[in-house]
Amino acid sequence: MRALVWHGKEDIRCDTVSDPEIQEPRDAIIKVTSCAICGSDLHLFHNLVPAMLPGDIMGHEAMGEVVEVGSGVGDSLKVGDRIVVPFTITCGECEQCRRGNFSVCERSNRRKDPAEKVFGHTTAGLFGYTHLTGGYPGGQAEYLRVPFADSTHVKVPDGLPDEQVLFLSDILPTGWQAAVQCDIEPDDTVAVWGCGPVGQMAIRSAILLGARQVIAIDYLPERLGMAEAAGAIAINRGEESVIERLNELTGGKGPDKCIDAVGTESHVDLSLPDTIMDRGMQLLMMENDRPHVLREIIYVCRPAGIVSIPGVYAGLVDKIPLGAAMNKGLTFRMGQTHVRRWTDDLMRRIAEGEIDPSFVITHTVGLEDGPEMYRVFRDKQDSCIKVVLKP
Amino acid sequence: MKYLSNLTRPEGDPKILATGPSAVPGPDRLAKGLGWFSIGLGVTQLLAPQLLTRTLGLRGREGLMRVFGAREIASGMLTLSTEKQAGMTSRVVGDLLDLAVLGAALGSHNRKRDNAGVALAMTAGLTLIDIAVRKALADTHGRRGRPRDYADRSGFPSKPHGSQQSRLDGPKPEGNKPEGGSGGGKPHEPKAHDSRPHDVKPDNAKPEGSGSTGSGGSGGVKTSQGSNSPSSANSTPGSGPASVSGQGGAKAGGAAQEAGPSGGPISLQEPPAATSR
Repeated sequence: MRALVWHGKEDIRCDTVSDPEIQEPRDAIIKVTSCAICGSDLHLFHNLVPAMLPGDIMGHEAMGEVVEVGSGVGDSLKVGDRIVVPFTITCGECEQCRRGNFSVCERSNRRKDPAEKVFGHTTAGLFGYTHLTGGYPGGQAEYLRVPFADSTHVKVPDGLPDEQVLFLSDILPTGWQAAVQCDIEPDDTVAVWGCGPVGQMAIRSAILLGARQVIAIDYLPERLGMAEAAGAIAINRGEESVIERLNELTGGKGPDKCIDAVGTESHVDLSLPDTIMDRGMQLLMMENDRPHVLREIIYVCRPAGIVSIPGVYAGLVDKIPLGAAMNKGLTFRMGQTHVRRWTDDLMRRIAEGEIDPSFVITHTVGLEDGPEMYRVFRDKQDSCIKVVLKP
Repeated sequence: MKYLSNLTRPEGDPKILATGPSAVPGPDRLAKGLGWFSIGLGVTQLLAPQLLTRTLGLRGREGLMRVFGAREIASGMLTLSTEKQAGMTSRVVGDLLDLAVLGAALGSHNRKRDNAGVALAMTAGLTLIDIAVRKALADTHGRRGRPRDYADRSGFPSKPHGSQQSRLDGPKPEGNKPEGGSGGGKPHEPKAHDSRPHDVKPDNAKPEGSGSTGSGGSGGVKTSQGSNSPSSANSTPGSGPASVSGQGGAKAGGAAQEAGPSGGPISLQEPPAATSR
């Protein structure tokens, strides 16, 4: 089969690889009908997340048709079923899964040692996302092995096209969880940093959850335009001061709830010295992430506010004003997405026409064009916001 | 032995059988080579400055040579990172400093001025290469053209209801219930409520008004664009034909190509006014 394979920093190729096989009784194999490039795939593209190895298959947003099931899958899945594959692999049986904390499943990471050494404890296995999270082959391929398939799937009802449900694999529940974590109240102002795919979903989620005012912050006009289409107020950080504008929009009080949908790779802006410092420190391996957005959020968030972090951070960060955060009484909520916790509700909302996540798709290409699209997406060329691959 | 990475794969995981072509652009590869050259030269300058100062007739300038070595290493690291353009810019600046020092070494007092002349010529050549690679990187990775208009992509097929509806209906007074909320807080009106369930057509779909043939076969880039702004797209350099799926029936001004007999990709010429590439 063909698959997008990581060969090193900024080097992803469409390789011919052997087909995946059933390895465990609870496995299933799907024929991938649609998959997508995620913003967090760019962190791997840039080799910023440790423990990628040449030969790793990329991709954690995939869906398709079940073509083979293991003996232990039972009646929950059968050949021919159409499923979305959550990017977090979940056993469905461990204590964390039973609590609904699917992204910290205690059993699905098949390489727990490095995760326990780095994080202190293991987290869930993830598709195509380094050997810290199991080293599972990803879904940017023609076929995908789904471990714990009886638990790690979302069945797709008839009549819903791939484009509407594909993002249940990651970005829609990720944006949703980011908004839910904010405990949004009707009078709230929610500010969202980063209008990439997750930011767009967070904006719409905050609107659906009833925020009075949603503010979108980015520097790319096309992304801000897409945010405005949903009803958000746009702040172009290349043209105006984020802090001043947020204070202006909130009467000097700051947004009640702040969502960091940027994560580790904050835009380097010559007018913002800390972004240059972060880039330099990252180059010298003195910190892993560029946390400018977090600093800005801590500074501007309303006291007693909530900071929700769906953006991926990889490791160590420097110069976080924890004193300000502590004295302002901010609450921080973050984490990989507990995808299965949200998908039933979100599937219903999609089916009932409450939200159509396909709005975010800007490019659809074949798998063989995937390597080039990584670059286009990274360089923000052609107003690219979301790439869907059709294997 | 060809694919050592296969050794790290667990039994049953896919293993590489044949690798595809690299998508790393040519300027990136050149920059990578120049980055390693910088580091090699920088390490030499840092660790063995006498070797260079003797050769160039610059005895007594070992300290300067070490500083230049550190600069070269920094430039090399930057060039090897994702900030290649900044790295190449720093290389060009460094080249100019090198040229100044070597130019000063051409005086008649320097018995090694012939060596300095050769070094100067080589540095001048490298400077031209650095400038060309810097420009090629900017051309390859830069954002071009005007951004697309996604104003009709609300993501809400039906009009939202409840509290968000009141927010969408129009601006509210400023702030979080602020006292004296200042101006400037006018929320933007929602541009549209998207009632179309799909933004993207199947790969072999034919946009309305599209014209004739593509190369068929694989791939092709298809961009989906708002229904109110006829779509436009180009394939990325080196990739297959581009295809565009416009919401509600994309039309492209100008030449358009559609799927060939094999049901391949659709290709549309992007109208200049809307293009960003």
